[in-house]
Amino acid sequence: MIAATPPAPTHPAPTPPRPLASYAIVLVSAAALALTGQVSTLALAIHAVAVIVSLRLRNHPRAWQRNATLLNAGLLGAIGVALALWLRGDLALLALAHFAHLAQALQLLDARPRRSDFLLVALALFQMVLAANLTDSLFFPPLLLAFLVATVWTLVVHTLWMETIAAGEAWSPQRAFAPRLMRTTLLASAGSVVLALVIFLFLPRLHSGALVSGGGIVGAAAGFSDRVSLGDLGRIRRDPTIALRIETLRGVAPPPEQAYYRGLAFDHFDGRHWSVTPAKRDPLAITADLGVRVGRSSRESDLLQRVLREPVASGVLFGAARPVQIEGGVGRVERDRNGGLYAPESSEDRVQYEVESETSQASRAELRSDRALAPERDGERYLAMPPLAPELFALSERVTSGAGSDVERVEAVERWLREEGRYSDTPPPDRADDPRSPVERFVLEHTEGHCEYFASAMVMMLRSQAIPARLVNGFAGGRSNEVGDFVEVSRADAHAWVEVSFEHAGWVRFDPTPPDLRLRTSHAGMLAQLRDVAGAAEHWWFRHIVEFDRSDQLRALRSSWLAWHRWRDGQTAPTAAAPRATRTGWRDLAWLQSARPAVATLLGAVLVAALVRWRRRRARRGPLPVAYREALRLLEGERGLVRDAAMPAREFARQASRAIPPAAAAAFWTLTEDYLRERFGGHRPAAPRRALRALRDSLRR
Amino acid sequence: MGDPRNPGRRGRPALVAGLRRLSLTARLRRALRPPRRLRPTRAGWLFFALVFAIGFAALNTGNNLLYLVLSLLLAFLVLSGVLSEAALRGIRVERRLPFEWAAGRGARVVLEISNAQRKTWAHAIVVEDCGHAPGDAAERAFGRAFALRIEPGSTESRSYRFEPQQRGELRFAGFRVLTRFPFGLFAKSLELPREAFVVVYPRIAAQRPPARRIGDPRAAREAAGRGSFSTEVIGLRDYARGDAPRRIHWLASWRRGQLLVRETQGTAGGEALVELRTRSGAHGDAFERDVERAASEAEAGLRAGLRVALRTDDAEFGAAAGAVHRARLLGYLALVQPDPADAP
Repeated sequence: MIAATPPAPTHPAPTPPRPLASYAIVLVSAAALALTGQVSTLALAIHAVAVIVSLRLRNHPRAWQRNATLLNAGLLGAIGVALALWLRGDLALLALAHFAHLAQALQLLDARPRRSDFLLVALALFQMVLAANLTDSLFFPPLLLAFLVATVWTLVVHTLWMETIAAGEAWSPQRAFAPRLMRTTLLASAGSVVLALVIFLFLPRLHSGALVSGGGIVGAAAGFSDRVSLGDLGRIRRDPTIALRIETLRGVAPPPEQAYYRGLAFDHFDGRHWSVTPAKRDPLAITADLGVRVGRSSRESDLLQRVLREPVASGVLFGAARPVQIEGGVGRVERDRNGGLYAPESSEDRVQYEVESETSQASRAELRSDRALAPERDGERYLAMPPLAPELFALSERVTSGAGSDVERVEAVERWLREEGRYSDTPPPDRADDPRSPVERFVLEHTEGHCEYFASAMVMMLRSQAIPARLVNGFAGGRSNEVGDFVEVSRADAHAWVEVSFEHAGWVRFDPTPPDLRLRTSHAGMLAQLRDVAGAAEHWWFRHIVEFDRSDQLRALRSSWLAWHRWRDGQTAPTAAAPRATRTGWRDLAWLQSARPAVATLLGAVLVAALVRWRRRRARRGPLPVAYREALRLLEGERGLVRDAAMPAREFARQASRAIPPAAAAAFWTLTEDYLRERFGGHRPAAPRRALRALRDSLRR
Repeated sequence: MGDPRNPGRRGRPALVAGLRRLSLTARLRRALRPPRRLRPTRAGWLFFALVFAIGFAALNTGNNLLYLVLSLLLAFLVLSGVLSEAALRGIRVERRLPFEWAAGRGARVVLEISNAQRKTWAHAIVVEDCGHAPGDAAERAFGRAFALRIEPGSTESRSYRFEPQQRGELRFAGFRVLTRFPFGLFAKSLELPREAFVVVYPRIAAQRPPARRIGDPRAAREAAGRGSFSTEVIGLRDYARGDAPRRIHWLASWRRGQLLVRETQGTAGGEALVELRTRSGAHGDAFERDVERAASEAEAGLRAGLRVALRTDDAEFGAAAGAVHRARLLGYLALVQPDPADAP
């Protein structure tokens, strides 16, 4: 039956109700904005009401939904709200988010004839973009995925609808929604995701900082700046937010009770505040994308860890033991006089970097023969003390009286504090009217305190005995995530400890805080496992998507390059020049090399099978037999002879014979007769390839 | 097709396509022509603006979630291209033209749109039939057809109505197959060359048979309407296209196994002469009116059962009747031009 195409319509066709997929888009984008937690409840409620009303009146819209004045007034209202928020001092992003949210609600209620739903989709996309700026939640990717599927479906349906209306035909969803349309949509969505991930990997990262949206995500942890007050760390320790995620890439990570992630070291104490003197920092590199050496140690690093750090005041970079080298998209790297590392551009950002550390520490026997000695340069600052009560000096003298060596004196103080100190994460507040330092009260009055008090007391007690020492803060402990094979370090793991300077061993760590009191208890069971799974998923999301940066791109390129060279050169053992390649999955290609013939054979077989399958499928395709179709293509390609569909095959052969060489004509006659026999008689031709070859040779001669 | 340079040559009425030979330039042009054309729609331009804005924001801020959204949008672009290509790739179009076409008379052109793919459905396919109308230098779409979906391996037939305004040669160049599937962001089109030539007969008006007769005056008088035709059958002849069904002798046709029509005395005896001056100096509309008058007379004469002859200053067709003769006369008149030597 022939369907006549009607003339173009002179009046607009009735607009069909919005597809349900549009509502899915709207809900998903609204959920993404709600996820940020920064859109007001009122705006969310208005949007929800609009969705419900629009859904209820979807098939029978009311007159007011077509009232342009009313709708335009609503739009002006949305603009007004956004302007008011902006003028009030809120972030421009937030004002835009409110506008997009309210405008989308209005668009849902608008039942005027429309050309398409693209505006709705564009508004939803805008909301997703805003949400991307305001959150990095793990729930964002599933919402993005749902948004993708709903968008694909909505756009496909609307394209079909628009085209049908443009052609002047009546819209019939039953006719349009072919059985495979949903499958096509899902495949298209899956294809989009795969393609997007590939594009995502290769899009050039031109910005040195990986994430600037962090400002609105989580607050930077205070207490890690170059000047801290006693008690700052205690406040941090009450916060269970994740601060670091640490993967060990090379070497053996210490168990949690011995794991220390060094942040800053402080030398100057005024009785209430610790600070770094002088405050000047040395710039090390303007970027650490390709790695920057940060340590002065001449020994080889024996531990390589990847650290995912949440925002931290001053952009402090943490590393286990003595960091030697840092690599990652952290921007400019600086070092203070106490070896503290900073990435000042990243203080508001979550950053990811790899840190190589040197973990070896002098044994107690070695230390016994060593002596505590301040560094030659500015060493006196590690012995400086604020005016403290003489009782503290006396106490220190008494505690260390029986020790024979410096290290024994240090251990005596450490032991005394562990035994006598009263640990509490909520020490009594410092009284402004009390001239005594909190450290004095902690030591002499046996008040409660947390690690910062223990460490401060130990430093003061050691310095009173002319032993150079400094306070170090950072994180210690953490919780191992078995699913993701990394360590989660929360702000509650913030810790302070002590470093003592020895003549030969350098700075050696001592920790006067009782470990059983500072360490978190680990939970077991189903809940803990679920938590591990969620933590691992979040880590993967941050690690591979949110924090994927230029440094990762360069590293991947380098790994590929090294792997390629190793493959080409036939190396089987990792070389010193390619340590990264060995640890990033290209561990050993020897098995592949030995299996090369087998792999080649397998690939060849797969290729041949694919080729055969392709040819069979090609042969089945179309109404014409393969050989005849090939012959027609040859005639068209070589001589420009085209057979009209209405022309009988023999007539075409007769006419074509006049325009081609006799040998080609004979071959084509054979093919034509074969075709007719096959088409109408069901006989398979004996040797169509030979005739086809003769035709090709003759035409090309 | 009547060939004005060779009036006696027999051809198919109205349409001859079939075998053709592409010139070197045509083949070169075809080889150099991009296989697909892509034109963003309004939504597509908006989409581009969004991609640009998000790309700028991503590069500026380094926010990887923006990069992710940007990647998705770029993937959308690629996917749009792939799916539209999948929709277009297997499309074949064939054209079925009407038996004859006269200026001022519309007729339907049937387009058979098939999807040669085995698995992939084709969606939202628009086919435009393009070519040159008589007297029209620019190529234009004669009509368009739309198929919402075409199943793999199946064919959908659509038609459009086209009414040529002038006599002459109607040249069909080919089809422009277009789709905005899947997202409506781009209109992707491909061109399928499928040339065909149609001779559009001159405009034919209702008219009495020609006044100038040759042959039996009685038959001529009867044929001119002043009396009734003689119904005396003088013989039978093979049916030809254009013969009125009422003239078919069914019994004889059944016996012979082929259609036969009666020849009456009136149809056999009367002859009429249609004259057209090609060197009269008439050009433009005046000449067109002469041609239309000649065509109308010839048509009326043939319909009246006369044997019609045509004489011009350049050619002469002997008196004859039947569909083939009619096609020869109208085909000639469709293409005849005034002698350029007499141009004012």
